[in-house]
This record gives sequence, structure tokens and C-alpha cells, in this order.
Amino acid sequence: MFMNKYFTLLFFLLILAMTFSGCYTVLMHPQTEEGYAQEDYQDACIDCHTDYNDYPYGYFYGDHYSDYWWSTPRYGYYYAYPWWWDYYWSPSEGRQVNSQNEDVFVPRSSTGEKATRRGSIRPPYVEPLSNPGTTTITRGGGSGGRGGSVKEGNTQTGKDSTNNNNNGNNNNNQDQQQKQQTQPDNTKKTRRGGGRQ
Amino acid sequence: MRSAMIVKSLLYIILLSGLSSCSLMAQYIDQVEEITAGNFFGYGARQMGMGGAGMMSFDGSALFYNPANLARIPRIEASLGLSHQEYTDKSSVREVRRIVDYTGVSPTEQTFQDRFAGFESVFGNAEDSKSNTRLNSAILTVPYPTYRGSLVFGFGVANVANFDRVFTLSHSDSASPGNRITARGNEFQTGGLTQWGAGAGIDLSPRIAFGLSLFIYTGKHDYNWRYRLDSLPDLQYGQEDYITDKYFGWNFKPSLAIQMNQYLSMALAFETPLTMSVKEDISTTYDGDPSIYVDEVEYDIRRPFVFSGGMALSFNEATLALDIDYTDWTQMEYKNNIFMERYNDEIEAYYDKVFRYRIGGEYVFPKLGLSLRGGYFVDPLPVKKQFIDDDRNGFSLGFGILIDRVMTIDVAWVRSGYNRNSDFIYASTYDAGDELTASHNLIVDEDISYDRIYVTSAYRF
Repeated sequence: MFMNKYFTLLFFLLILAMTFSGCYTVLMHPQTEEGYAQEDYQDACIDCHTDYNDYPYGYFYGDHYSDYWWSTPRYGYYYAYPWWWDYYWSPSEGRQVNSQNEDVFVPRSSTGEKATRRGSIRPPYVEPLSNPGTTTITRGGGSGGRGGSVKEGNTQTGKDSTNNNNNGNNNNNQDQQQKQQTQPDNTKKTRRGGGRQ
Repeated sequence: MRSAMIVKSLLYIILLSGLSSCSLMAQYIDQVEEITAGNFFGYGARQMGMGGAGMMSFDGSALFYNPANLARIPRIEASLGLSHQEYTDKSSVREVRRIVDYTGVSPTEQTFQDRFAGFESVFGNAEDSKSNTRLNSAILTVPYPTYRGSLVFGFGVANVANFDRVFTLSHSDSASPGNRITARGNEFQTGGLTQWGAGAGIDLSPRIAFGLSLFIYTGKHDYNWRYRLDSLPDLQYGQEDYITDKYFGWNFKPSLAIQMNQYLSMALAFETPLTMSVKEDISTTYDGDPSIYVDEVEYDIRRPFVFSGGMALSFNEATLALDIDYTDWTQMEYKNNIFMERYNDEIEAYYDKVFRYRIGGEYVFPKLGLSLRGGYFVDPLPVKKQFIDDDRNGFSLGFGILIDRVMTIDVAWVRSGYNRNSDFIYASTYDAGDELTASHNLIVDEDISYDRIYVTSAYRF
């Protein structure tokens, strides 16, 4: 009698959960048009999954990532990055490694242009970043590009990222800043270096 | 010489009947105490480092604390935890004794008459300690790939209650120099209750998750009591009990986790009543008697609902968590054994309604991959206040590290303790129907403290 009563309740709760689950959690992907081309794969996904750029490590409770999940991506990876996402998002696309050898999400541009060659600093001119240890990893093209950015040493939320995406000039400036900062470490040792005035 | 032999025989019979009743019969209200009641050991070093607040934590132990939060685990996680306990019991026997008259006369405190006439209690104390290391938890969580929301399954085992305890009784009565009665008892307990769990958490909306866990309980409790009484030059009495209880039961736990806003999250859960079948094997030996007296008892014990709530406040690197449980232990009852069911009234008189709360904080140093934690908890004993001198509470400290982006190691230290009193039936009398009519009790105070270390490591694939 006791077991029947609680098994009934258990069954009821399971039915309730399954009913509610259809409202939100989706296990099966909606049908897509036939003739879906492989090369359109990610672009088409972004059409529906518009919040992917805001939640690169996986959708996590409402609309909030802890700030340090952005600045220290391994926390975001540990707490929010679904294990099956690697399957849908090729590691070779849209990923870079920061100064701490951690994967950093950089969304693939769906509407941007190719990166500028021989780029030079462009207005509006901004002050160099004050923290010499700061590394900025930027992927983005010229004006109108949809490049994302992940900064270390600066707090940045998904919304901030979206704002930056709309300013291609800023991205170019960051390209320049990054180049200026990283060049001393990355350039080869001067040959035949002599004394300097 | 002949009269001395008769007196000796009578004393032996009285003591034999009285003392054996301490362990074999639940005649006194204290005997309805169940070691499985209100004896939560705790699992998960992260949660225990935060005072035991685990309702809003996002790791495999959510299977037991709040299965709805399984939905917040995006990767396959395997975790393993160990625990170590140092348990100390300091006991003392009051100089005042208590007479309990079970025929309806109100109990009075006075020096026992009859055999103990002329003797006075001498204050006695003793200390005993025990340490043990056990597997604390082993949990596997498996997220099912989803296109939206989350569905995560969890499977695991945890040590939900620990029976490792010791107690030493040291008592003496003195009438004159050289004329002394001494009593000494050693209690040694070991074992635990294991909770096997299988559950799932699913997102019902972007901010609401539902979870359900099914728990199966198995356990074993080994109890050993050695008692020796030396009374006058011509009487020695010794007794030893071996009692083994085996437990089996099941219940389940539904829960909700709700993200109220960016900073505040809340959880609600309840555990359905847990009915455990208990099979008890008893064997008793007496000094000078080569026989072993064995018995076997089976009964069910039904633990009432447990209602739980939790909340967490998160401000980026800082988290503050609070958990509250409510259990009405007066609703606990014996079942499927009419002899045990007679004591259900005494359960109501002995047990109490209990709020148990834990509060803890965590601060993360992301660049270091380090988390520091601390907590405080009040975990009241489930019995009436008259049996408690100082209720159970404690504090905890802990830390955790994230290695690379796949592995965590968490360590917690918990310090806790309580003071309680109980009656020890020193001698007793029975009527012709073998019903207890009166007992002569010593009042024993126990100062119990323990330190526990929890270590849990998790790997996310």
C-alpha cells in the first residue's frame, strides 16, 4: 500500500516533468530545409541561435555569466561548456588560445569582411591599454565586421561584446594595440645589434 | 556462609535481569533512540566547506542535495570523495541518581534504597576517542545533448550517516573506605548508512529547473557493549552484547531550482518518508556462563518528510548560500512489529521538531584557480531539549582548486560537537509478569566533539 502510493506520486511527477520538458528543453533538433549545405552549417545555426555569441560556453541560468567566466575562460568552460558542443562547433573555427594557453571563444563572423591587410591605426584614436600585462585577442574585419573580442584584465559581459561588435573601427584599433604590445615578445632577437644613441 | 551465598545469588539474579534489560528491551524512553535519526554526515567537500549548504551548488553532489541543479552540469563528470573523522566522547556521571517508577508514581531524585543503601555516588568521568576514514561519495553525471535547455542524469553513492562512535562509562559508589561498588562500560559502534541515488535534472524554462532523485538506502550498524560491575568483595558481574542491525529502505526527492535574477537563486525540495526495514541480530554473553544467548528482531522504522529550502546570492567571485531543512521527528514510527509499535507513543515524547540550517560563503580567485570557503551550521539533535545540554552546531573551512579546465580538488574541515544527557539503568525491578516496575538510573552527561575532513575530486570530460 505504501509503495503503491509513492510510486503513483513518482509516476505523476515524471509525467509532469515530461510534460513541462516539452515546453523548453529540446532534445530533437527542429527540421531544416532539404539541401542544407555543409558550408552553410554554422551560418544557418546562428540564424536561430542568436544568443550563441552571448553564451559561448553554453546557456547558463537566465542571462548571466559570472564575470570571471569571461576573464578566466577555463571557469566558463568547466561550468557551462556542454561536452557535445565540440561536435557542432569545430575547434578549428572560432577558437583561439590566450596567453595562459586557454581556449578562448571568438565567434565566427557571419556578416563581416576579411581582415584588413597592412592596416594602420585609424580614428578614433584611443589611449593604449594601461595594464602592460593585458592581452587582447581580437578577431574582426573592417567596418561592419562582426568580430567578437575577449579581454583579459578587463571585465566584459556578453552585452559588452555585442556593443564592440558594432564598432569595426575599435576592433582595428585593438588590432593595433595588440600588435604594439606583443611585438617585443614575439620579434626575433636583433642580429648584429650594436650600440645605440 | 550459607546466608552469604543466598545474598550473592539474589544480587546476581537482580542485576542480571536489570542490566540485561538495558540493551535487550526498549523499556525506557531513551531506548527508542534510533541512530539513523538526525545523524546526517554530509558529503561533497565544497558543500561541507560552506557549512553544509549545498542546495544551490552545481556539481555531482546535486544528485543528493538538489537534483534540479543536475541540469546545471554541462559535461560528463566523475567525482570521488573521502572523509576522515576524529570522534571524542567525554563522559561523566552525576552524583545524583534518579529513581523511575513505571507504575505511575512521579519520578524522584534520591539515593537508591535496598542494595545500595548506605552508598553514595562518587563523581566519575572518562574519555574515549575513535577515528575512521571512509569513502564519502562517488558520483557520475551524464548530460544528454540538447538543442535548448538541459537534461542531465546522475548516478551515485554517498555515506549519508556515520555510526562510528565510542563511549566509556566510569562510575563508583562508596559506603566507606574499602567498601566500594565500581561499574565500567565500554561502548563501541561502527558502520554507516549508504545512500544510492539515481536522478535527473531538466530545464523547464530558462530560469527554472526540475529534478528528481530516487534513493535506496543500505546500511549496517555494529554495536558492542562491555559492562563490568564489581560490588563488594564477593560479587563480580560481567556482560557483553553484540548487536548488528541491517537496514534497507528507499525514498525519492523532487526539487526545483529557480534563478530569480542575476544575483539571487533559490531552491525547494522535499524527501518523501523513508521506511527502512531493520533486521537485528543480538548475542549476549555473561561472565562465568559459557552459553551465548542469541535473539533476532525485525521491524520497520518510518522516517517522516524532510522539507528543504535554499538560496544563494552571487556577486561575481563571491557567493553566499543558505540552506534550511525541517523535519518533524515526532512523526517517526515503528511498523510491522507490534512489540515495537507499542513504543510509538514514546517516540512522540522523546523526539522533537527540528529546523536545521547551514550558511556558507565562497570567494573565487580566478587567476589562481582557487576558492576559499567558510561556513556555520546548526544541526539540532532530534530529541527533546531536556536531553540536550548544548545543542549540535559547528563551523567549517575549506578550499578548492580548478586544475586546467577539467578537474577540481576540494578540501573541507568541519568542527562540531554537542553535550547531551541520558539515563543509564543501573539496576531495575520487575513484577511477576516480567514488566519493568522501577529502575535506578545514573545520569550520564556526554561532551561529544568531532573533526571531519572531506576531500572530493571531480573530473569533467
